[in-house]
Amino acid sequence: MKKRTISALSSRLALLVCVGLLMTVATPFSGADEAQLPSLVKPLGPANLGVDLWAAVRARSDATSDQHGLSRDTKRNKTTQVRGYDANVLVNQAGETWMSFRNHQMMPKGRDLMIFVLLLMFLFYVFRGSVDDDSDDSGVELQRFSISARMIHWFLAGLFILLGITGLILLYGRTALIPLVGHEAFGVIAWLSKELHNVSGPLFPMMLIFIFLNMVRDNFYERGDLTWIVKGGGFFGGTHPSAGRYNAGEKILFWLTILLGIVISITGLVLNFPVLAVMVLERYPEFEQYRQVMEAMHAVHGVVAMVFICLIFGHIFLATVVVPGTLSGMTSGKVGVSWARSHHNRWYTQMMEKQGKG
Amino acid sequence: MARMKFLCDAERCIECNACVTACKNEHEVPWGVNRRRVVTINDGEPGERSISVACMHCSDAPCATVCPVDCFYTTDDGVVLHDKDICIGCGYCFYACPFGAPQFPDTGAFGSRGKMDKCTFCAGGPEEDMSSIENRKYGRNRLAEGKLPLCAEMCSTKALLAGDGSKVSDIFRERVTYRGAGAMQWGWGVAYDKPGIKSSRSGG
Repeated sequence: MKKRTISALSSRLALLVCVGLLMTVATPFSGADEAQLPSLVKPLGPANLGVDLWAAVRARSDATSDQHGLSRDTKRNKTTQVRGYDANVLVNQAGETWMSFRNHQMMPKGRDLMIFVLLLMFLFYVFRGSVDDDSDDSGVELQRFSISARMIHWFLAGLFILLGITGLILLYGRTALIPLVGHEAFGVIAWLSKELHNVSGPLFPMMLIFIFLNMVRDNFYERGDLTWIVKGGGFFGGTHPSAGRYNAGEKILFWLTILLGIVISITGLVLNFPVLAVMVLERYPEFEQYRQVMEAMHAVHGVVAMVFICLIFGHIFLATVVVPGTLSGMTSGKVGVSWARSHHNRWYTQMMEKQGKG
Repeated sequence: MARMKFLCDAERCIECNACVTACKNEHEVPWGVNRRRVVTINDGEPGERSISVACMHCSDAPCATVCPVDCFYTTDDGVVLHDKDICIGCGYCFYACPFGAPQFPDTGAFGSRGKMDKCTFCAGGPEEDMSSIENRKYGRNRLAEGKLPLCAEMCSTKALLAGDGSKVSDIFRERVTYRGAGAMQWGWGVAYDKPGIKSSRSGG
Protein backbone atom coordinates (compact mmCIF):
# COMPACT_ATOMS: atom_id res chain seq x y z
CA MET A 1 0.00 0.00 0.00
CA LYS A 2 2.69 2.41 1.07
CA LYS A 3 5.00 1.27 -1.72
CA ARG A 4 2.31 1.88 -4.36
CA THR A 5 1.76 5.39 -3.17
CA ILE A 6 5.45 6.14 -3.33
CA SER A 7 5.80 4.73 -6.86
CA ALA A 8 2.77 6.71 -8.03
CA LEU A 9 4.25 9.86 -6.56
CA SER A 10 7.63 9.24 -8.12
CA SER A 11 6.11 8.59 -11.56
CA ARG A 12 4.17 11.87 -11.30
CA LEU A 13 7.32 13.67 -10.29
CA ALA A 14 9.14 12.25 -13.29
CA LEU A 15 6.33 13.42 -15.57
CA LEU A 16 6.52 16.89 -14.12
CA VAL A 17 10.27 17.03 -14.67
CA CYS A 18 9.83 15.85 -18.27
CA VAL A 19 7.19 18.47 -18.98
CA GLY A 20 9.38 21.12 -17.39
CA LEU A 21 12.33 20.11 -19.55
CA LEU A 22 10.19 20.08 -22.68
CA MET A 23 8.95 23.56 -21.96
CA THR A 24 12.49 24.78 -21.45
CA VAL A 25 13.54 23.36 -24.78
CA ALA A 26 10.47 24.50 -26.68
CA THR A 27 10.53 28.12 -25.50
CA PRO A 28 13.77 29.78 -26.38
CA PHE A 29 13.31 32.69 -23.95
CA SER A 30 12.73 30.82 -20.74
CA GLY A 31 16.20 31.69 -19.52
CA ALA A 32 17.82 35.01 -18.85
CA ASP A 33 18.51 35.85 -22.52
CA GLU A 34 15.50 38.17 -22.92
CA ALA A 35 17.76 40.68 -24.63
CA GLN A 36 17.57 38.53 -27.77
CA LEU A 37 13.80 39.03 -28.03
CA PRO A 38 13.73 42.00 -30.40
CA SER A 39 16.02 40.36 -32.95
CA LEU A 40 14.13 37.07 -33.02
CA VAL A 41 10.57 38.38 -33.14
CA LYS A 42 9.87 40.58 -36.11
CA PRO A 43 7.09 43.14 -35.70
CA LEU A 44 4.12 42.32 -37.90
CA GLY A 45 3.91 45.82 -39.26
CA PRO A 46 4.45 49.41 -38.27
CA ALA A 47 3.22 50.46 -34.85
CA ASN A 48 -0.34 51.73 -34.98
CA LEU A 49 0.07 55.05 -36.72
CA GLY A 50 -3.37 56.02 -35.56
CA VAL A 51 -2.07 56.48 -32.06
CA ASP A 52 -1.31 60.16 -32.60
CA LEU A 53 -4.76 60.75 -34.01
CA TRP A 54 -6.58 59.01 -31.19
CA ALA A 55 -4.47 60.72 -28.59
CA ALA A 56 -5.41 64.02 -30.24
CA VAL A 57 -9.06 62.98 -30.20
CA ARG A 58 -8.83 62.54 -26.45
CA ALA A 59 -6.75 65.76 -26.29
CA ARG A 60 -4.07 64.21 -24.17
CA SER A 61 -1.18 66.53 -23.58
CA ASP A 62 1.40 64.11 -25.01
CA ALA A 63 -0.32 64.26 -28.37
CA THR A 64 0.16 67.95 -28.79
CA SER A 65 3.85 68.06 -29.59
CA ASP A 66 4.43 68.31 -33.31
CA GLN A 67 7.36 66.96 -35.32
CA HIS A 68 9.61 69.72 -33.99
CA GLY A 69 8.77 68.81 -30.44
CA LEU A 70 6.89 72.05 -29.96
CA SER A 71 3.75 71.75 -27.97
CA ARG A 72 0.62 73.01 -29.63
CA ASP A 73 -2.54 74.37 -28.21
CA THR A 74 -4.90 71.42 -27.90
CA LYS A 75 -7.90 73.68 -28.08
CA ARG A 76 -6.92 75.33 -31.35
CA ASN A 77 -5.81 72.33 -33.34
CA LYS A 78 -9.38 71.11 -33.39
CA THR A 79 -11.91 73.05 -35.42
CA THR A 80 -15.55 72.68 -36.29
CA GLN A 81 -18.13 74.55 -38.31
CA VAL A 82 -20.63 74.18 -35.49
CA ARG A 83 -20.86 77.11 -33.12
CA GLY A 84 -21.43 76.30 -29.47
CA TYR A 85 -19.73 75.85 -26.11
CA ASP A 86 -16.80 73.42 -26.39
CA ALA A 87 -18.02 72.30 -29.84
CA ASN A 88 -14.46 71.50 -30.92
CA VAL A 89 -13.87 69.15 -27.99
CA LEU A 90 -14.29 65.54 -29.07
CA VAL A 91 -13.96 63.78 -25.73
CA ASN A 92 -14.79 65.60 -22.52
CA GLN A 93 -12.89 63.71 -19.87
CA ALA A 94 -13.61 66.08 -17.00
CA GLY A 95 -17.29 65.13 -17.11
CA GLU A 96 -16.58 61.75 -15.58
CA THR A 97 -14.69 63.34 -12.69
CA TRP A 98 -17.52 65.77 -12.02
CA MET A 99 -20.17 63.09 -12.36
CA SER A 100 -18.48 60.74 -9.91
CA PHE A 101 -17.81 63.61 -7.49
CA ARG A 102 -21.42 64.75 -7.58
CA ASN A 103 -23.02 61.30 -7.42
CA HIS A 104 -20.60 59.42 -5.20
CA GLN A 105 -19.03 62.09 -2.97
CA MET A 106 -21.12 65.23 -2.69
CA MET A 107 -24.58 63.67 -2.59
CA PRO A 108 -24.02 60.93 0.03
CA LYS A 109 -21.61 62.95 2.16
CA GLY A 110 -23.73 66.09 2.09
CA ARG A 111 -26.79 64.07 3.06
CA ASP A 112 -24.89 62.41 5.90
CA LEU A 113 -23.55 65.76 7.12
CA MET A 114 -26.98 67.33 7.26
CA ILE A 115 -28.49 64.30 9.00
CA PHE A 116 -25.56 64.25 11.44
CA VAL A 117 -26.06 67.91 12.35
CA LEU A 118 -29.79 67.42 12.84
CA LEU A 119 -29.11 64.36 14.99
CA LEU A 120 -26.57 66.27 17.04
CA MET A 121 -29.10 69.01 17.62
CA PHE A 122 -31.72 66.46 18.60
CA LEU A 123 -29.34 64.83 21.09
CA PHE A 124 -28.40 68.23 22.48
CA TYR A 125 -32.06 69.01 22.97
CA VAL A 126 -32.79 65.67 24.63
CA PHE A 127 -29.84 65.70 27.02
CA ARG A 128 -29.31 69.41 27.63
CA GLY A 129 -32.61 71.04 26.65
CA SER A 130 -33.09 74.77 26.70
CA VAL A 131 -30.84 76.92 28.77
CA ASP A 132 -32.45 78.70 31.73
CA ASP A 133 -35.54 80.54 30.60
CA ASP A 134 -35.16 84.27 30.99
CA SER A 135 -38.20 85.13 28.97
CA ASP A 136 -40.61 85.54 31.89
CA ASP A 137 -39.90 89.06 32.76
CA SER A 138 -41.25 92.13 34.35
CA GLY A 139 -42.41 93.13 30.89
CA VAL A 140 -39.66 95.71 30.60
CA GLU A 141 -38.09 95.36 27.14
CA LEU A 142 -35.08 96.66 25.30
CA GLN A 143 -34.96 97.52 21.60
CA ARG A 144 -32.48 95.01 20.06
CA PHE A 145 -33.04 95.12 16.28
CA SER A 146 -34.29 98.08 14.27
CA ILE A 147 -36.96 97.63 11.62
CA SER A 148 -34.38 97.81 8.84
CA ALA A 149 -32.23 95.10 10.46
CA ARG A 150 -35.25 92.87 10.88
CA MET A 151 -36.40 93.40 7.29
CA ILE A 152 -32.97 92.62 5.92
CA HIS A 153 -32.68 89.57 8.18
CA TRP A 154 -36.03 88.11 7.21
CA PHE A 155 -35.62 88.87 3.52
CA LEU A 156 -32.27 87.09 3.60
CA ALA A 157 -33.73 84.27 5.70
CA GLY A 158 -36.67 83.79 3.36
CA LEU A 159 -34.38 83.84 0.37
CA PHE A 160 -32.07 81.33 2.06
CA ILE A 161 -34.91 78.94 2.82
CA LEU A 162 -36.28 79.25 -0.73
CA LEU A 163 -32.86 78.72 -2.30
CA GLY A 164 -32.04 75.93 0.14
CA ILE A 165 -35.22 73.99 -0.47
CA THR A 166 -35.16 74.41 -4.27
CA GLY A 167 -31.46 73.51 -4.34
CA LEU A 168 -31.98 70.38 -2.25
CA ILE A 169 -34.91 69.39 -4.48
CA LEU A 170 -32.63 69.62 -7.52
CA LEU A 171 -29.93 67.57 -5.78
CA TYR A 172 -31.92 64.94 -3.88
CA GLY A 173 -35.37 65.08 -5.51
CA ARG A 174 -34.58 62.24 -7.90
CA THR A 175 -33.95 59.82 -5.03
CA ALA A 176 -36.33 61.30 -2.47
CA LEU A 177 -39.32 62.63 -4.41
CA ILE A 178 -39.66 60.64 -7.64
CA PRO A 179 -40.69 57.46 -5.75
CA LEU A 180 -43.37 59.53 -3.98
CA VAL A 181 -44.85 61.71 -6.72
CA GLY A 182 -43.71 60.08 -9.96
CA HIS A 183 -41.62 61.36 -12.86
CA GLU A 184 -44.16 63.74 -14.43
CA ALA A 185 -45.12 65.59 -11.24
CA PHE A 186 -41.51 65.77 -10.14
CA GLY A 187 -40.60 67.21 -13.54
CA VAL A 188 -42.89 70.15 -12.78
CA ILE A 189 -41.57 70.51 -9.22
CA ALA A 190 -37.98 70.41 -10.43
CA TRP A 191 -38.66 72.88 -13.26
CA LEU A 192 -40.24 75.29 -10.76
CA SER A 193 -37.32 74.75 -8.39
CA LYS A 194 -34.79 75.48 -11.12
CA GLU A 195 -36.54 78.66 -12.25
CA LEU A 196 -37.08 79.95 -8.70
CA HIS A 197 -33.50 79.12 -7.78
CA ASN A 198 -32.14 80.86 -10.87
CA VAL A 199 -34.36 83.93 -10.68
CA SER A 200 -34.14 84.58 -6.94
CA GLY A 201 -30.50 83.55 -6.66
CA PRO A 202 -29.03 86.90 -7.80
CA LEU A 203 -30.91 88.64 -4.96
CA PHE A 204 -28.81 86.74 -2.45
CA PRO A 205 -25.54 88.66 -2.95
CA MET A 206 -27.56 91.88 -2.81
CA MET A 207 -29.03 90.98 0.58
CA LEU A 208 -25.61 89.82 1.71
CA ILE A 209 -24.28 93.33 1.08
CA PHE A 210 -27.21 94.83 2.99
CA ILE A 211 -26.79 92.59 6.03
CA PHE A 212 -23.05 93.21 5.99
CA LEU A 213 -23.50 96.99 6.06
CA ASN A 214 -26.23 96.75 8.66
CA MET A 215 -24.55 94.47 11.15
CA VAL A 216 -20.81 94.67 10.61
CA ARG A 217 -20.12 97.42 13.18
CA ASP A 218 -21.02 95.25 16.19
CA ASN A 219 -19.37 92.11 14.83
CA PHE A 220 -15.70 92.99 15.19
CA TYR A 221 -13.57 91.20 17.73
CA GLU A 222 -13.88 92.56 21.24
CA ARG A 223 -12.14 91.73 24.50
CA GLY A 224 -13.96 88.88 26.13
CA ASP A 225 -14.87 87.06 22.89
CA LEU A 226 -12.02 84.62 23.34
CA THR A 227 -13.12 83.90 26.90
CA TRP A 228 -16.63 83.31 25.58
CA ILE A 229 -15.32 80.72 23.13
CA VAL A 230 -13.08 79.07 25.74
CA LYS A 231 -16.05 78.73 28.09
CA GLY A 232 -18.06 77.18 25.23
CA GLY A 233 -20.60 79.99 25.44
CA GLY A 234 -21.84 78.65 28.76
CA PHE A 235 -23.73 75.87 26.98
CA PHE A 236 -21.99 73.15 28.93
CA GLY A 237 -22.55 74.36 32.45
CA GLY A 238 -20.84 77.12 34.34
CA THR A 239 -21.80 80.74 34.39
CA HIS A 240 -22.78 82.88 31.41
CA PRO A 241 -19.62 84.24 29.85
CA SER A 242 -19.64 87.98 29.42
CA ALA A 243 -20.78 89.22 25.99
CA GLY A 244 -21.43 92.50 24.19
CA ARG A 245 -24.24 93.15 21.75
CA TYR A 246 -23.27 89.97 19.89
CA ASN A 247 -21.49 87.10 21.58
CA ALA A 248 -18.55 85.38 19.91
CA GLY A 249 -20.78 82.63 18.53
CA GLU A 250 -23.01 85.15 16.81
CA LYS A 251 -19.95 86.90 15.42
CA ILE A 252 -18.68 83.61 14.01
CA LEU A 253 -22.09 83.09 12.43
CA PHE A 254 -21.97 86.57 10.91
CA TRP A 255 -18.51 86.19 9.40
CA LEU A 256 -19.19 82.63 8.19
CA THR A 257 -22.40 83.86 6.58
CA ILE A 258 -20.45 86.58 4.78
CA LEU A 259 -17.64 84.22 3.76
CA LEU A 260 -19.81 81.30 2.63
CA GLY A 261 -22.23 83.81 1.11
CA ILE A 262 -19.52 85.34 -1.06
CA VAL A 263 -18.35 81.92 -2.30
CA ILE A 264 -21.89 80.73 -2.95
CA SER A 265 -22.78 84.00 -4.71
CA ILE A 266 -19.80 83.97 -7.05
CA THR A 267 -20.21 80.32 -7.98
CA GLY A 268 -23.97 80.75 -8.29
CA LEU A 269 -23.69 83.78 -10.56
CA VAL A 270 -21.27 81.94 -12.85
CA LEU A 271 -23.64 78.97 -13.03
CA ASN A 272 -26.56 81.31 -13.68
CA PHE A 273 -24.85 83.40 -16.36
CA PRO A 274 -22.69 81.17 -18.58
CA VAL A 275 -21.14 84.28 -20.13
CA LEU A 276 -19.30 84.69 -16.81
CA ALA A 277 -18.01 81.14 -17.15
CA VAL A 278 -16.60 82.06 -20.55
CA MET A 279 -14.91 85.06 -18.93
CA VAL A 280 -13.47 82.80 -16.22
CA LEU A 281 -12.21 80.45 -18.93
CA GLU A 282 -10.49 83.30 -20.77
CA ARG A 283 -8.90 84.54 -17.54
CA TYR A 284 -7.89 81.06 -16.34
CA PRO A 285 -7.08 78.91 -19.38
CA GLU A 286 -6.05 76.01 -17.12
CA PHE A 287 -9.74 75.14 -16.98
CA GLU A 288 -9.44 74.21 -20.69
CA GLN A 289 -13.17 73.95 -21.26
CA TYR A 290 -16.30 75.94 -20.54
CA ARG A 291 -17.78 72.81 -19.05
CA GLN A 292 -14.90 72.44 -16.60
CA VAL A 293 -15.58 75.91 -15.23
CA MET A 294 -19.24 75.04 -14.76
CA GLU A 295 -18.37 71.69 -13.17
CA ALA A 296 -15.93 73.29 -10.72
CA MET A 297 -18.44 76.02 -9.85
CA HIS A 298 -21.19 73.46 -9.39
CA ALA A 299 -19.07 71.30 -7.08
CA VAL A 300 -18.01 74.26 -4.90
CA HIS A 301 -21.56 75.68 -4.91
CA GLY A 302 -23.05 72.39 -3.74
CA VAL A 303 -20.50 71.69 -1.01
CA VAL A 304 -20.61 75.25 0.37
CA ALA A 305 -24.42 75.27 0.20
CA MET A 306 -24.70 72.18 2.36
CA VAL A 307 -22.17 73.48 4.90
CA PHE A 308 -24.15 76.75 4.91
CA ILE A 309 -27.41 74.88 5.48
CA CYS A 310 -25.87 73.07 8.46
CA LEU A 311 -24.69 76.41 9.87
CA ILE A 312 -28.18 77.86 9.54
CA PHE A 313 -29.69 74.73 11.12
CA GLY A 314 -27.55 75.53 14.13
CA HIS A 315 -28.51 79.22 14.04
CA ILE A 316 -32.24 78.48 13.98
CA PHE A 317 -31.87 75.82 16.67
CA LEU A 318 -29.99 78.12 19.05
CA ALA A 319 -32.20 81.14 18.45
CA THR A 320 -35.49 79.36 18.97
CA VAL A 321 -35.17 76.19 21.04
CA VAL A 322 -31.96 76.47 23.03
CA VAL A 323 -32.11 80.08 24.15
CA PRO A 324 -35.71 81.17 24.71
CA GLY A 325 -36.29 84.88 24.52
CA THR A 326 -33.90 85.38 21.61
CA LEU A 327 -36.44 85.14 18.79
CA SER A 328 -38.45 88.17 19.89
CA GLY A 329 -35.44 90.36 19.09
CA MET A 330 -35.94 89.49 15.43
CA THR A 331 -39.74 89.51 15.41
CA SER A 332 -40.90 92.43 17.55
CA GLY A 333 -37.42 93.85 17.73
CA LYS A 334 -37.52 93.88 21.53
CA VAL A 335 -35.97 91.56 24.10
CA GLY A 336 -36.65 91.13 27.79
CA VAL A 337 -34.41 92.91 30.25
CA SER A 338 -33.43 89.77 32.15
CA TRP A 339 -32.56 88.00 28.87
CA ALA A 340 -30.32 90.88 27.92
CA ARG A 341 -28.75 90.97 31.38
CA SER A 342 -27.82 87.31 31.41
CA HIS A 343 -26.87 86.75 27.75
CA HIS A 344 -25.45 90.09 26.68
CA ASN A 345 -24.45 91.74 29.96
CA ARG A 346 -22.08 94.30 28.45
CA TRP A 347 -24.65 95.38 25.88
CA TYR A 348 -27.24 95.57 28.69
CA THR A 349 -25.00 97.86 30.71
CA GLN A 350 -24.43 100.07 27.66
CA MET A 351 -28.17 100.30 27.00
CA MET A 352 -28.88 101.14 30.61
CA GLU A 353 -26.27 103.88 30.58
CA LYS A 354 -27.75 105.27 27.39
CA GLN A 355 -31.24 105.22 28.83
CA GLY A 356 -29.99 106.80 32.01
CA LYS A 357 -28.53 109.60 29.97
CA GLY A 358 -31.62 110.01 27.80
CA MET B 1 -32.80 43.04 -30.47
CA ALA B 2 -30.11 44.98 -32.23
CA ARG B 3 -27.66 47.11 -30.26
CA MET B 4 -27.52 50.33 -32.24
CA LYS B 5 -24.13 51.96 -32.77
CA PHE B 6 -22.52 54.84 -34.62
CA LEU B 7 -19.04 54.49 -36.04
CA CYS B 8 -17.12 57.21 -37.84
CA ASP B 9 -14.21 56.06 -39.97
CA ALA B 10 -11.65 58.87 -39.68
CA GLU B 11 -9.87 57.47 -42.77
CA ARG B 12 -12.90 58.30 -44.88
CA CYS B 13 -14.49 61.42 -43.43
CA ILE B 14 -13.92 64.41 -45.71
CA GLU B 15 -15.58 67.03 -43.48
CA CYS B 16 -18.37 67.78 -45.93
CA ASN B 17 -20.80 68.38 -43.02
CA ALA B 18 -23.58 66.66 -44.96
CA CYS B 19 -24.44 64.60 -41.87
CA VAL B 20 -24.87 67.81 -39.85
CA THR B 21 -27.05 69.41 -42.50
CA ALA B 22 -29.10 66.28 -43.16
CA CYS B 23 -29.81 65.89 -39.47
CA LYS B 24 -30.85 69.50 -39.04
CA ASN B 25 -33.15 69.28 -42.03
CA GLU B 26 -34.67 65.92 -41.24
CA HIS B 27 -35.56 66.76 -37.66
CA GLU B 28 -36.24 70.51 -37.97
CA VAL B 29 -33.75 71.02 -35.14
CA PRO B 30 -34.18 74.39 -33.35
CA TRP B 31 -31.80 77.30 -33.89
CA GLY B 32 -28.49 77.07 -32.10
CA VAL B 33 -28.77 73.31 -31.78
CA ASN B 34 -26.69 70.82 -33.71
CA ARG B 35 -27.31 67.22 -32.87
CA ARG B 36 -24.24 66.22 -34.85
CA ARG B 37 -21.00 68.03 -35.59
CA VAL B 38 -17.83 67.37 -37.53
CA VAL B 39 -14.57 68.15 -35.72
CA THR B 40 -11.36 68.46 -37.71
CA ILE B 41 -8.02 67.78 -36.05
CA ASN B 42 -5.04 69.79 -37.33
CA ASP B 43 -7.07 71.49 -40.04
CA GLY B 44 -4.94 72.52 -43.03
CA GLU B 45 -1.88 70.57 -41.92
CA PRO B 46 -0.53 67.20 -43.07
CA GLY B 47 -2.24 64.46 -41.12
CA GLU B 48 -5.53 66.34 -40.92
CA ARG B 49 -8.43 64.12 -39.89
CA SER B 50 -12.13 64.73 -39.41
CA ILE B 51 -14.58 62.91 -37.21
CA SER B 52 -18.34 63.26 -37.11
CA VAL B 53 -19.66 63.08 -33.56
CA ALA B 54 -23.08 62.98 -31.94
CA CYS B 55 -24.68 61.11 -29.08
CA MET B 56 -22.97 57.72 -28.94
CA HIS B 57 -25.87 56.07 -27.08
CA CYS B 58 -23.70 54.80 -24.23
CA SER B 59 -24.60 51.56 -22.45
CA ASP B 60 -24.10 53.22 -19.05
CA ALA B 61 -24.87 56.78 -20.06
CA PRO B 62 -23.36 59.47 -17.78
CA CYS B 63 -26.13 61.89 -18.78
CA ALA B 64 -28.72 59.56 -17.31
CA THR B 65 -26.86 59.17 -14.02
CA VAL B 66 -26.59 62.93 -13.39
CA CYS B 67 -30.08 63.90 -14.61
CA PRO B 68 -31.87 65.41 -11.59
CA VAL B 69 -35.28 64.46 -12.99
CA ASP B 70 -34.33 61.02 -14.35
CA CYS B 71 -35.71 61.73 -17.83
CA PHE B 72 -33.42 59.40 -19.81
CA TYR B 73 -34.25 55.89 -20.86
CA THR B 74 -32.70 53.26 -23.11
CA THR B 75 -34.80 51.60 -25.78
CA ASP B 76 -34.69 47.90 -26.63
CA ASP B 77 -32.38 48.85 -29.50
CA GLY B 78 -29.88 50.35 -27.08
CA VAL B 79 -30.76 53.91 -28.11
CA VAL B 80 -30.56 56.49 -25.31
CA LEU B 81 -33.60 58.80 -25.46
CA HIS B 82 -35.05 61.40 -23.13
CA ASP B 83 -38.45 62.80 -22.23
CA LYS B 84 -38.71 66.51 -23.01
CA ASP B 85 -41.86 66.82 -20.89
CA ILE B 86 -39.79 66.00 -17.81
CA CYS B 87 -36.50 67.69 -18.78
CA ILE B 88 -35.90 70.98 -16.93
CA GLY B 89 -32.92 72.21 -18.96
CA CYS B 90 -30.42 72.21 -16.09
CA GLY B 91 -27.47 71.37 -18.35
CA TYR B 92 -25.97 68.65 -16.14
CA CYS B 93 -26.13 66.08 -18.95
CA PHE B 94 -23.98 68.41 -21.07
CA TYR B 95 -21.38 68.66 -18.29
CA ALA B 96 -21.24 64.89 -17.86
CA CYS B 97 -21.44 63.81 -21.51
CA PRO B 98 -18.06 62.73 -22.95
CA PHE B 99 -19.14 63.70 -26.47
CA GLY B 100 -20.86 67.05 -25.94
CA ALA B 101 -24.08 65.63 -27.36
CA PRO B 102 -26.76 67.42 -25.29
CA GLN B 103 -27.67 70.82 -26.75
CA PHE B 104 -29.94 73.53 -25.41
CA PRO B 105 -32.10 76.05 -27.27
CA ASP B 106 -32.41 79.45 -25.57
CA THR B 107 -36.10 79.08 -24.84
CA GLY B 108 -36.06 79.08 -21.04
CA ALA B 109 -36.98 82.04 -18.84
CA PHE B 110 -34.81 85.11 -19.62
CA GLY B 111 -33.15 83.27 -22.50
CA SER B 112 -31.82 80.52 -20.25
CA ARG B 113 -31.46 76.92 -21.34
CA GLY B 114 -34.61 75.37 -22.69
CA LYS B 115 -35.31 71.66 -22.82
CA MET B 116 -32.38 69.55 -23.89
CA ASP B 117 -32.17 68.30 -27.45
CA LYS B 118 -29.85 65.61 -28.69
CA CYS B 119 -29.40 62.92 -31.31
CA THR B 120 -32.17 60.34 -31.05
CA PHE B 121 -30.56 57.85 -33.46
CA CYS B 122 -33.59 58.86 -35.55
CA ALA B 123 -35.73 56.98 -33.03
CA GLY B 124 -38.03 59.80 -31.87
CA GLY B 125 -39.08 60.00 -28.24
CA PRO B 126 -41.46 58.54 -25.68
CA GLU B 127 -44.57 59.63 -27.61
CA GLU B 128 -46.43 57.32 -29.96
CA ASP B 129 -44.23 56.26 -32.89
CA MET B 130 -44.51 58.52 -35.97
CA SER B 131 -47.10 60.76 -34.29
CA SER B 132 -47.06 64.47 -35.12
CA ILE B 133 -46.27 65.42 -31.51
CA GLU B 134 -43.27 63.09 -31.50
CA ASN B 135 -42.15 64.62 -34.77
CA ARG B 136 -42.44 68.15 -33.40
CA LYS B 137 -40.54 67.41 -30.20
CA TYR B 138 -37.92 64.91 -31.30
CA GLY B 139 -37.90 64.87 -35.08
CA ARG B 140 -38.60 61.98 -37.40
CA ASN B 141 -38.72 58.44 -36.11
CA ARG B 142 -36.93 56.70 -38.98
CA LEU B 143 -36.27 53.56 -36.94
CA ALA B 144 -40.04 53.05 -36.63
CA GLU B 145 -40.25 53.47 -40.41
CA GLY B 146 -37.67 50.71 -40.80
CA LYS B 147 -34.91 53.08 -41.82
CA LEU B 148 -31.53 53.87 -40.31
CA PRO B 149 -30.29 57.32 -39.19
CA LEU B 150 -30.17 59.80 -42.06
CA CYS B 151 -26.69 61.15 -41.27
CA ALA B 152 -25.16 57.76 -42.02
CA GLU B 153 -27.49 57.08 -44.96
CA MET B 154 -26.44 60.40 -46.50
CA CYS B 155 -22.71 60.03 -45.93
CA SER B 156 -21.06 60.31 -49.33
CA THR B 157 -17.90 58.41 -48.41
CA LYS B 158 -19.66 56.00 -46.06
CA ALA B 159 -17.36 57.19 -43.29
CA LEU B 160 -20.25 57.36 -40.90
CA LEU B 161 -21.86 54.01 -40.20
CA ALA B 162 -24.99 53.52 -38.15
CA GLY B 163 -26.96 50.44 -37.29
CA ASP B 164 -26.76 47.16 -35.47
CA GLY B 165 -23.41 47.11 -33.65
CA SER B 166 -22.42 43.67 -34.96
CA LYS B 167 -23.13 44.65 -38.60
CA VAL B 168 -21.30 47.97 -38.25
CA SER B 169 -18.28 46.28 -36.74
CA ASP B 170 -18.33 43.62 -39.49
CA ILE B 171 -18.17 46.35 -42.14
CA PHE B 172 -15.38 48.18 -40.35
CA ARG B 173 -13.44 44.97 -39.73
CA GLU B 174 -13.63 44.17 -43.43
CA ARG B 175 -12.33 47.63 -44.29
CA VAL B 176 -9.41 47.30 -41.92
CA THR B 177 -8.60 43.89 -43.35
CA TYR B 178 -8.51 45.29 -46.89
CA ARG B 179 -6.36 48.17 -45.77
CA GLY B 180 -3.82 45.77 -44.30
CA ALA B 181 -2.27 45.62 -40.90
CA GLY B 182 -2.91 48.75 -38.89
CA ALA B 183 -5.67 51.18 -39.43
CA MET B 184 -3.48 53.54 -41.48
CA GLN B 185 -2.15 51.13 -44.11
CA TRP B 186 -4.68 52.29 -46.63
CA GLY B 187 -6.29 55.66 -46.87
CA TRP B 188 -4.87 59.08 -46.05
CA GLY B 189 -1.55 57.70 -44.81
CA VAL B 190 -0.76 56.15 -48.18
CA ALA B 191 -2.14 59.03 -50.21
CA TYR B 192 0.08 61.53 -48.44
CA ASP B 193 3.09 59.21 -48.16
CA LYS B 194 3.27 58.95 -44.43
CA PRO B 195 6.81 57.82 -43.52
CA GLY B 196 7.04 54.27 -42.28
CA ILE B 197 4.32 52.83 -44.43
CA LYS B 198 6.24 52.09 -47.60
CA SER B 199 9.20 50.55 -45.80
CA SER B 200 6.95 48.22 -43.89
CA ARG B 201 5.17 47.21 -47.08
CA SER B 202 8.35 46.36 -48.90
CA GLY B 203 9.52 44.49 -45.82
CA GLY B 204 6.40 42.39 -45.43
